[in-house]
Amino acid sequence: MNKIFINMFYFVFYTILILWLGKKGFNKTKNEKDFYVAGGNLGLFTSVSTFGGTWFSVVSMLGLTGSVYVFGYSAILYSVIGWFLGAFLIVLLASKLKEYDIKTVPEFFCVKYNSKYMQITAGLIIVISYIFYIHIQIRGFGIVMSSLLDIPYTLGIFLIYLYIVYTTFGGLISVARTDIINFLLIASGLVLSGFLLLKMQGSISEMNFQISQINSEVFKGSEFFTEKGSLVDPFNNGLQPPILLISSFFAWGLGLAANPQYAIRIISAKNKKTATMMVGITVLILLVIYTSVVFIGLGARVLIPTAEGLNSIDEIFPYIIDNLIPVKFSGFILISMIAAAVSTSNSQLLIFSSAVCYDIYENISSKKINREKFLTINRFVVIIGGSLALLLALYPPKSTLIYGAKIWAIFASSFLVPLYGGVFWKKATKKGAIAGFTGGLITCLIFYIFRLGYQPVTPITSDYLINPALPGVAISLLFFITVSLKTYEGDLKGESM
Amino acid sequence: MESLILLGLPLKTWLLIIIPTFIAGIIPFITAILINKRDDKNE
Repeated sequence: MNKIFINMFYFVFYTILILWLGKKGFNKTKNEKDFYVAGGNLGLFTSVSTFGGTWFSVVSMLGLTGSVYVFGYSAILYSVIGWFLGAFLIVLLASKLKEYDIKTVPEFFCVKYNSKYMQITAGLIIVISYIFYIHIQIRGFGIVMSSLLDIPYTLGIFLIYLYIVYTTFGGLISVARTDIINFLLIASGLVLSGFLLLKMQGSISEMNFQISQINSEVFKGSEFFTEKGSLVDPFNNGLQPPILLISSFFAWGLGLAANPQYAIRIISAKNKKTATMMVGITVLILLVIYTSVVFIGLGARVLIPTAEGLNSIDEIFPYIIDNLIPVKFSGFILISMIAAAVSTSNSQLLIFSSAVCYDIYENISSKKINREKFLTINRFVVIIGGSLALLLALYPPKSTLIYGAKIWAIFASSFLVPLYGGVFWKKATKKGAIAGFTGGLITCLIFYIFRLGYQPVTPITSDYLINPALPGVAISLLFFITVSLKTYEGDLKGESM
Repeated sequence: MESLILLGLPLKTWLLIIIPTFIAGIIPFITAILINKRDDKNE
């Protein structure tokens, strides 16, 4: 049967499923608490699905698979270990954060520190960062669609725009319901791909032996060569030095720990137990999924040591499907990629909408808004946010994995210390939180603006040798502790007066 | 090239990547169980 016809069949099937699940959520959403956090009532199964679906994005699917293909095992050290350590911090945060009656993460700053400045600024950071992050999800989807359905990239990115906007319209109830099917597709699609690629190698030992022998150009004409033994070396024979890997942990691990898209799932879980177990169980499932990703990236490198006609790391996975996966499975894996893009970007678009309407607009506007009208405004903002990300996707970055780390660095530098400090440290004060939040953010931005620590790593990627998250978090922590200790006594006196 | 060990990977890759990844992947689950047990006890 024609390959494109089979892919199209899966695509139509997925579309019908999403339309049906999304509509049910739309009907159940009555107010903003339903819209933002599904009424704070999600059970364990749904929470695991939506946490996992949001976690596993295009960055994991295309960026990591491609990076494993190019850099071998060191790609795991660069990303996955940091993500899992970040998840450990989220477990610690879960039972404490659940005690607050909040609808958004920036609202935590307002409730805890009595600071509207922090809520509004945190809302602004979300608005800017998420637009840039959603656009890489759209880009990933565009690559997949154009490669597997043989349609133009611009048509591909417009299609995902429709999916994201539709599923976000029903709020978190819709997002969580569609995430059940999305996470199931992601997990099964990747485990199936990993199994098929590993089967082609014979065994894990054989695959590892073969990749340790590879000594070839990565992309034909790229003039970027893989040295023999570098794919099994933790530091890729010096190409990914320890300082790059350690500082990227500050971006990925701590950025994940402070990211509102994960923290919001703590708030939406029905109780503390569900919130903590949600993270623990999801990471166990992700461990299996990432193992499959490694088999896909490495297995493909053995079979195709030099890829032809590619320009970026993100194009590798669709290339693998097109060239190595049997036709009868390729359509299924195609929709698992779509699921990864949709499940992350609709969650982010929802948080974008809550940041604009709830954290920013409600705090600066003196008008009292009718709650039904407020929901309509949120949905309108969803369309605007999706459209902006769509426009940005016309100018995509070279690697989603590296680009994603840059965005997560902003969250690590600004949100992390005041969020965890506020929950775990009794001496945290409003002034300390503002100092830590602002100091970390400004430090991170200075590193970006003046390109401090920037170094092109390879001809096909560019990265910060010292990720701005490292100085950002350090300054944030320093300011937060110093100012809090200086103002703590004063705050206590103020309270007792 | 250094001697290869288990499943065709060098020792340092096991020590710096494979084992830490699995430990980091299991820790959140164990922590969640411990926190819930502690909370149950406190209740």
